[in-house]
Amino acid sequence: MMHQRHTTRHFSKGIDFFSLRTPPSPLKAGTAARKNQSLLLMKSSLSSGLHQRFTLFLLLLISCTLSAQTTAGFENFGLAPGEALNGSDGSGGFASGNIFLPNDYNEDFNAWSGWAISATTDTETPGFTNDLSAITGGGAEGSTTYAVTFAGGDGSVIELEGEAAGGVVEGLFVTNSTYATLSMLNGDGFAKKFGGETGDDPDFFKLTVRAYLDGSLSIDSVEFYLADYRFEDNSQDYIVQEWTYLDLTPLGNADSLFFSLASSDVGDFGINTPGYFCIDNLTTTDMIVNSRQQLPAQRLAVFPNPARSHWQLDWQMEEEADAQLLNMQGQQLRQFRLQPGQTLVDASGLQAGMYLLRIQQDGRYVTKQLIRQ
Amino acid sequence: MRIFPNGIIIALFLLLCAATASAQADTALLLPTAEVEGQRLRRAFAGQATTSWDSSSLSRYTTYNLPALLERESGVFVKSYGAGSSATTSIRGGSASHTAVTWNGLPLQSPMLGQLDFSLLPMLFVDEAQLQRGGNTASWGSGALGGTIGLQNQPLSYEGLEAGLQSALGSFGLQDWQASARYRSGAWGINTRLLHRTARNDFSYRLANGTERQQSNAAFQQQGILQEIYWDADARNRLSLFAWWQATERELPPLTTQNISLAAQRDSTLRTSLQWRHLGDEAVWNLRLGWFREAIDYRDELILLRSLSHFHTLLGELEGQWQLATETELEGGIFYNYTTALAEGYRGQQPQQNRQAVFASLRQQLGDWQLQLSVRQALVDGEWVPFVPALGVEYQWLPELQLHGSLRRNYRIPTLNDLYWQPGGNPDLQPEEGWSMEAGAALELPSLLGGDFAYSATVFNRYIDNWILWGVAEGQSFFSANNLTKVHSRGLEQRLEWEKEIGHKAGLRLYGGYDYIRSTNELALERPRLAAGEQLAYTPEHQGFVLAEWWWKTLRLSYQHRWVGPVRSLNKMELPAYQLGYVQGDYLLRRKAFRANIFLRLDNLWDADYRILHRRPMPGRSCQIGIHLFFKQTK
Repeated sequence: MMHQRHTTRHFSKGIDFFSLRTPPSPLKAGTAARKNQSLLLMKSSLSSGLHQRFTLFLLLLISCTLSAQTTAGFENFGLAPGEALNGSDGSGGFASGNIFLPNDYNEDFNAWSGWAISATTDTETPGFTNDLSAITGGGAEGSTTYAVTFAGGDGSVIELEGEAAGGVVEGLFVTNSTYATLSMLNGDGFAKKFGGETGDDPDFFKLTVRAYLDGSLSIDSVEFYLADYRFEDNSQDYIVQEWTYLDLTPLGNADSLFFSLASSDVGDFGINTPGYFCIDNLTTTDMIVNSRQQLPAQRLAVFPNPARSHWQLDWQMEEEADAQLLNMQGQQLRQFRLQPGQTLVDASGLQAGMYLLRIQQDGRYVTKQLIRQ
Repeated sequence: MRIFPNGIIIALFLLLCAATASAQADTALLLPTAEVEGQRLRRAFAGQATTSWDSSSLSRYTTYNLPALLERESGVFVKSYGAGSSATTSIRGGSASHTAVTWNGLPLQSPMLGQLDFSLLPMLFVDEAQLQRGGNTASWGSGALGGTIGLQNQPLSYEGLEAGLQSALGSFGLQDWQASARYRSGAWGINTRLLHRTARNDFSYRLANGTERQQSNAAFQQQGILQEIYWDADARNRLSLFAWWQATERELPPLTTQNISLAAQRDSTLRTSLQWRHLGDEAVWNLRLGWFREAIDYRDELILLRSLSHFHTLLGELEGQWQLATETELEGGIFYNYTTALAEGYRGQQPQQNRQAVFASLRQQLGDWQLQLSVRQALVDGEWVPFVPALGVEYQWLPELQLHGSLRRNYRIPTLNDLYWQPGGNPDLQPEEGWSMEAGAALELPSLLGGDFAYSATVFNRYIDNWILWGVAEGQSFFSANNLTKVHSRGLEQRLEWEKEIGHKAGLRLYGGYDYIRSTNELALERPRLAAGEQLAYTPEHQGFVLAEWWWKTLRLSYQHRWVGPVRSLNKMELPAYQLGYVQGDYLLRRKAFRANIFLRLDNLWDADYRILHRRPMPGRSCQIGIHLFFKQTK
């Protein structure tokens, strides 16, 4: 049975734009700063002429729609403290906000992999029998529920769905699992105590996040040390035991997120440190067409993509449409009419990177990501 | 480091008591009777390197478990997890499940794990031991890929009584109490042996930065009894009954990189066997029946885990030996084994296994040549496993020089855990199988520097395909068993022995060995990450040992030394080579039928700081002092 989705939306429609919501924590300052930049840009536009007003309107529209956000907080599962969902109902995963967390549950041996949803509070029991608990004993920002994953093997994936698919992921909160924390603090029968026999070993437990877009994995990554014992001064060594915000905007647009773990305690069989960590309050950005009627995306084919010199668009509709080429900041670079059939778009004058092609026809939209190599 | 515990005072007192009882010592009665009686359960395969120990050689190890013997004078690498902790073996670069162990001819390896915890085998319960290096599944069945260790019990070789008590105290809280009685009269032979052993194993060890730490949660307690009854119904028929009960409760200590461990394990074992030997006019028949039950109760209060498992196994073997002609001997037999096991990992299933096998062996003497051809075909749960032939040749080139060679096919069937453990058990596993060959020369010079001299060198080459490993397969998030790789093992083994009698009352013996073993993984693997051509983890390339023994009247002093080369651990680091020394002294006092053997043993004499396994500390210098009081009367 699929769980009903619970969506916490933060639509920033025109008028709301001036009352920016308070960032969830000081650690989210990076996100807030980005929004302030948009605000300044908009304010400066107010004193300009008609053309500028049009630009302002467009930017406002783009800014508004781009900044529509959805946070997956996993509270929609209605778990009480101590409860957890490990996929034993055969649902195949969990949806919250605009994300989907895959789960593979094996009935034969009562074991889960991928993701689990948890509200367990056990911060003291070490070992694999306590594999669903976060070391914080609850969710981020005072919430009850969070998600836990085993990424020690081939990593874990979160799929972005609906309006978030292909968009920028703002960020998420992460912390250690109880299992990994206590293993790193005290050691266990498989994994070492961080610092080793003498306390001086430069151990680390590192989370790396990358984005998948159109089937390819981003080169850019966001790294976060869940534990870091590499300091000369051992008193600076730490194991993350609080929810910590991780800004994922450097990853750019994504269809899904890929999480992998690395540890200094590694053997023939991979990392010895228990490969678990926990997340909460993952905020996605809804794509530009969120509240509008969509054009059928399959009617627009682009080849090659990525491209160096030009993209060849194949518009498989009978009527022409308006097309805009935007950069990822939402600024219009070009505007043209798209005729049915094939159209060439010059890419040679553009910097390498990602662009958005937005097609509008009778109030309906479709967007396509274009990549300039 | 505290070496002499309080209990040693008691032992010294016993020693003084015994000394006052001293009278004239007798060179012929240094130790309890050395047994030479009885035919071998199965003659060593022609063309195979074999080492045997009688009860006299084994007596130096009575307060130890089997690993002490194997480590110090066999070239077998023992992977010990620490004092009192489990220990497995690697022979000729094989894995722990490639050592077959037989007790009075019946295999002892756990069908669940395919291996045996050698740390649970008290030497008190062994009268004779034999090591056959090299695979020989044609003779011993599944598992004998690396080598075979045979343990045997024997009735007293004379009519009379031998009964005694032994007490030893040692470092780290060792207290070892043994009682044994061996009686033989007329058609009956009865042996009873009792064991109670405890140790705290709270030794101190040094960390990499030189600081000392004391081992915790390492206590060991073992009780056991072995009862044997031999009945010669007539000159042609002997019935033997064996019952071996043993329980070992031990704490499982933390790793050096672990703050605390509260884990503990109880191993309980009941092994019973009824055997019948019939000497016919043209054949010798041996029937061996066995019923073994073993249980493991693992608890870890820290992680709130308790895991219970046990197995029952029923064994039967009927074997005949025919002297077809003066120089031709035929052996043949059938083997049956039924096993059932229960463990949490089997998720409510109770796997069963039925194994049947037929085997035959023809031995032919042709002048200075001896040829042996053995074959075995087994059926496991209705599936044929590889047919295994073995060909061995021995050639007496010169009276002093014998050459030998052999070519053998070997296999090992997957264990119950490999097949059925959830998650990861794989019912589609194929048996491991491969070929081994060896060639060697043995030189014996009865008078070199006034003593008996023997030297042997053996080279071997062995491939094992479909090697079973637990790893994480593509797209899986758990470990599973698969036929993952192929392993190539080859090496050179040398043994040298020199023994000299000095007058009638003294003597000197030197015995040593050096093994070079290269055992490499032949296929590159992802997880476990193994490079092609890489030496297997915990498989030393170089190992050497020396035993120097001197005796005068009833005093025996010996020094043992061994050297183990560096090994690769599973954690991407190399453990350095180490050298260990051992000293032993035995002195026998005698008054009429009473005897007292006093002994002192120093282990790790040079206080070496070493690790056999990564993150598993080993004790430094330690000692044992003990006395064996016994009564010996012949009719």
